[in-house]
Amino acid sequence: MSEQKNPEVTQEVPKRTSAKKWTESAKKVRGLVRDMYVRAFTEGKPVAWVMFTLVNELFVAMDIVPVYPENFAGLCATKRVGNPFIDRAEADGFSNVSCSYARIGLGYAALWKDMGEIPPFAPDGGMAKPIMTVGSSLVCDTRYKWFQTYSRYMDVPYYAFDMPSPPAATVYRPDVREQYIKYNLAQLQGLVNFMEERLGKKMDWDKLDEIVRRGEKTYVLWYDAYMLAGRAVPCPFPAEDSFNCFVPAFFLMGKVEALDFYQGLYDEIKYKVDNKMGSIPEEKYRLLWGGGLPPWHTMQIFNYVEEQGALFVFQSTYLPLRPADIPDRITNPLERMVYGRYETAINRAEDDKKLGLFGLCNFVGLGNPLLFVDEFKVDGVVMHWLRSCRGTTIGQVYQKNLLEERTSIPTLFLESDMCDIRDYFEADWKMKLNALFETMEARKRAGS
Amino acid sequence: MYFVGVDLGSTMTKVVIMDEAVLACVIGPTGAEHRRLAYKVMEETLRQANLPFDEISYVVATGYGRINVPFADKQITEITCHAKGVSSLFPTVRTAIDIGGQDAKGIKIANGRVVGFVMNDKCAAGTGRFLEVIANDLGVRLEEMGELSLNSKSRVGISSTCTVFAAQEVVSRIAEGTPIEDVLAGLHEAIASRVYRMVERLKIERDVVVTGGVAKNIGVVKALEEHVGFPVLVTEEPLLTGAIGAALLGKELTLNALESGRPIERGARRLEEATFFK
Repeated sequence: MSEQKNPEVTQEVPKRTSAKKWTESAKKVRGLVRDMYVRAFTEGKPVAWVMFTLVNELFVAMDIVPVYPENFAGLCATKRVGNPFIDRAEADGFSNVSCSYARIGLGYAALWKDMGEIPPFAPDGGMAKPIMTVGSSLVCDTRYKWFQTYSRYMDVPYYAFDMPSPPAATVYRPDVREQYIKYNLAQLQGLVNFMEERLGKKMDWDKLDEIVRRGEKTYVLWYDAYMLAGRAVPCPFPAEDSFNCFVPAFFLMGKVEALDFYQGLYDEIKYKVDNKMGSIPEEKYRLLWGGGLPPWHTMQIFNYVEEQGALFVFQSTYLPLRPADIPDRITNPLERMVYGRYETAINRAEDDKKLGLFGLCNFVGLGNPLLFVDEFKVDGVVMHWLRSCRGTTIGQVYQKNLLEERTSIPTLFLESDMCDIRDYFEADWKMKLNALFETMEARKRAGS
Repeated sequence: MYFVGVDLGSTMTKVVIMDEAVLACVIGPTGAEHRRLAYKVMEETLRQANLPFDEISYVVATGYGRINVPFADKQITEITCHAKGVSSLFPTVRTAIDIGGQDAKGIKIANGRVVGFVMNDKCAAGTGRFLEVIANDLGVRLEEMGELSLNSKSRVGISSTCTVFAAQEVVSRIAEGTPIEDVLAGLHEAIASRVYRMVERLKIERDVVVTGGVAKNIGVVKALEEHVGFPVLVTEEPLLTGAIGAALLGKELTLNALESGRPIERGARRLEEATFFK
């Protein structure tokens, strides 16, 4: 059937959607991301589709190229090509309120199956064919079934990796600690066994040890760079850059590129902080992105905020927790990984305890905005209600109430989705942001 | 000195002229031609007050169409303007609930200043549009819906998820023989519960003032009172709160500038229709 087109009707051309990059480091991320996808095709190594689970080091050690559909979905949203995948997933019956990261990846897999080839509009050449998929329980339960479904579309084996967050209320109990470490070690070992079986080769434990220790150094640099930037007035590294720069920590952890990247980021931020180099001429209002994933489809909105004289100086969504000091006596790399995770949870509990909130916050990666308001001289907090992400939306009202009880700064809820552009309404966002600016201005005028 | 507030809402355009009190006010439909109508409503208000435009000291535009008011000196969001307007009428207000034609919002206020707000987003359920659609389907006048619903003996449950689904539900209830007052009471409860759930994110505190066109519907107001658990306050003309707030903010800006010797920041002040091409 020939395609009929009305020459009078043209499709609206998407404007630039991504935000301006303020740091040289953030400018490098796009290249790293492109390489991730290209390498999966060109290196000739086995590929796994993996849910982010803080175990990238295992894949690096086994010479498996991990591809992260979560990142791919964000990339599609930024390029505004996510919705055809979403439509395809919904046509298979996935609810329009199920995770849009999942819907994009599932639609990609379904379209690949339909077309017998990678959908041509997939950015960066798309995700290469996997030999396995690995789902996990970290942060939300969708991550199990989502990757199991991939395995069905792509006809490859699936491994369900359980990684519960250390239980906040009982984190100091020795018996809980012992059980947690034992359970997580078994889970990690199970994943290693699965990889070994699938590849027909054994884990090189010395290599893994080297990679894990490199990852530990990378994590510390990541944390130090982010905190240094958040405290700085003026701030040289706004949230939109920070939303880019978590990528190597999540998806390249353990690799030399990641270590080099964070060394470079730390050095760049340190230089700018030492030389009082900010991002915008005057930080009339310092904002905190206090929860919810960013709007990958319209990151340019951060520049709109800057045009009004405000800057998001920090984001507490993709947040490294205060790193653990892992003793040298722990020589098993899997034990080092689990120990590090448990100790960072204790650090989190210590921080929460200072606020009198011990036992409430359970998430590994999601920060409590209250921790940063005073230290980072924040004038207002913005939270993003996501139609399709329960994991990062639940708790926002609680956090907002805490902010209201303990500070006098305003909090704004913006609503949309991390990837699904249908849930975004720009005029509404701009109006709400302007109302926030007016509120902060009135507060400043009143001297409170 | 005279100050003008223009509230270009999604359904109605409201203009007030104030000095110490409201001198004149006009409410007209916004419609698709709002770029022309804002100016016409303004002219009508000036006529009522018997004032030439030159005598107006300051004009603040608010509402979703605020950028399409070429005679305004300044644009201020409806959040700030509503808070100001409500606080001036009810100084004890802590929570303002505004239910307009196409949006509903909650504003938390302390000492006359905004401390937080929430708004609905891209959904007609929970707004005046919801009532308009149903009134049209039932052949009931919008103005009589509230009073009618107070006669209800047994309120029916109506979905507040989607206006279209709710309209279908209403039609099927009527077809079943359910009395219209019970259906209307169910509709009002659906709106009230949706708005309550949204505004409660701010923690509703007393006094609560309800504004916007839907505040004229006694059925919705009563249903809201059931949810909040105490009586709410309603302004005499609930449509004008934003425009009054805008005029008062204009007055504040002008007097502050005069007091401090700063020049008054003015807009283009073209009393004409807005177009896309200028």
